[in-house]
Amino acid sequence: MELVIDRVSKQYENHIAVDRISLRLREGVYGLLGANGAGKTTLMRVICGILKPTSGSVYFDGIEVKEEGYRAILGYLPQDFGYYPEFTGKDFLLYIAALKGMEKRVAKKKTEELLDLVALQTVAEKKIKSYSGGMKQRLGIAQALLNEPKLLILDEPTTGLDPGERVKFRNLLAELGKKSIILLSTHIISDLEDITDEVLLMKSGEIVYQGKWEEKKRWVRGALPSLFY
Amino acid sequence: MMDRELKKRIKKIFEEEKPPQREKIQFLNNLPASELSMGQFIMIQAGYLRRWVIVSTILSAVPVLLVANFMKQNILWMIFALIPLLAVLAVAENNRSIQYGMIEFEMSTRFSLKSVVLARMIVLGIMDFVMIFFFLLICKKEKDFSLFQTSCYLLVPYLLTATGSLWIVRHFPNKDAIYSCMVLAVLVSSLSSSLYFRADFLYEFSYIKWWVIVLIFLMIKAGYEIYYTIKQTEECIWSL
Repeated sequence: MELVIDRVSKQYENHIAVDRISLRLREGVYGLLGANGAGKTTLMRVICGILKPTSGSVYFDGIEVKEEGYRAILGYLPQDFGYYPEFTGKDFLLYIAALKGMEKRVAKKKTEELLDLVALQTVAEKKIKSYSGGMKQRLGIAQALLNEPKLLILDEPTTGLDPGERVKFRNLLAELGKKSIILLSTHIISDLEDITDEVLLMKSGEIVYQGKWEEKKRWVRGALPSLFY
Repeated sequence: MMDRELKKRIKKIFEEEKPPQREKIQFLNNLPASELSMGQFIMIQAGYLRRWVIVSTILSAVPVLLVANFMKQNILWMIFALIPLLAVLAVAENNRSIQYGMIEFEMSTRFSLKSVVLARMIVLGIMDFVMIFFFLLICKKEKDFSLFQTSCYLLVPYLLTATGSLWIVRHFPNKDAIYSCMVLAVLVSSLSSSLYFRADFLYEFSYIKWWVIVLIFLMIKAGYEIYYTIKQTEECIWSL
């Protein structure tokens, strides 16, 4: 299982959001770290096929990002997301399950499981608009896991989660990372410390460091301030 | 002259890496087939249409039926006024992924946003077609127009609103675009009903060729707008 990002760039008129990034990712949890505006979200959107790169290509085990097969193994949590106002938590998951091509019976079973996993089963029948920020975020995480993705892209997944939920989430990711490729972006370094196999530091659209978290922990911590200024 | 071998090697370095075919075939073999066919997906999408859109579309027939049956008044102007509202309801429903920020989810799933938009267009198109056909029968009963003539009178305001609204939504892809579509619908609605009173000569048979020309133009334009609306779903260009 391998995700290949080959010289990917994304340019908007006078601004280069992602600048010739090449990566090869295998099973594990990868943390994408960088200041706001570093290009994390743009890179993640390119990896998910939401944005077309200006140049370069992305593929997973030989399947290009634009193909249906690629989207079939993808789970994605966007940074900011909305929902249809009439949806309950359960409706939302069933809707996404349908978009993921899941049959109704399977979708129902998986929805129940995931609502239980993210501790939303008691509010499953309530409208999403009555949910707190943390509950919405957990629902977003649940939808990303519906199709048991081999490639999981999470953009700022811990936003809105309380400390207890963060710990649970980290454990979940550590478990999932054994058999999938997980790329998560954050600017909270403690979210990455215990679970990421590798850290990717991004600045001005470029990856300025890629390496094992444990080996370079001090270096990364030391380099962080310069990333943000 | 640069050495040919060197040229070849430089070219190879800058060539994009091709996906390894063996891995790709193995991957595709292991990929579970989608449990839903496109037909089932369309049916599911139909179930997710907002109730008020379906109810409003159906209810648009109520005033027409009431006036026709109880007040025994001319109802053609009312039908001409209602038709653009059907079109704007359909476009509003089709645009709700943008309105409610669901685009990123819908773009990253197996049935992508393109399939969602297509499915909605099919369901809403069928629904509007049934309503237009119903109005067509009423108009036919009310006035001595031919079926072809009546179809032109109904389809021109419908397609004008639909095409204009799709153009607005495509060029101003934001949550508020739908308000501009509503303004357009009201304008077309007022125009077509007032034309019936103020310029009724336009509905004489001698003018039918002009209606046909406009209709053909709008059909081509509608096809163009639908094509580009679907094409636009391939990449996220909306302000997220």
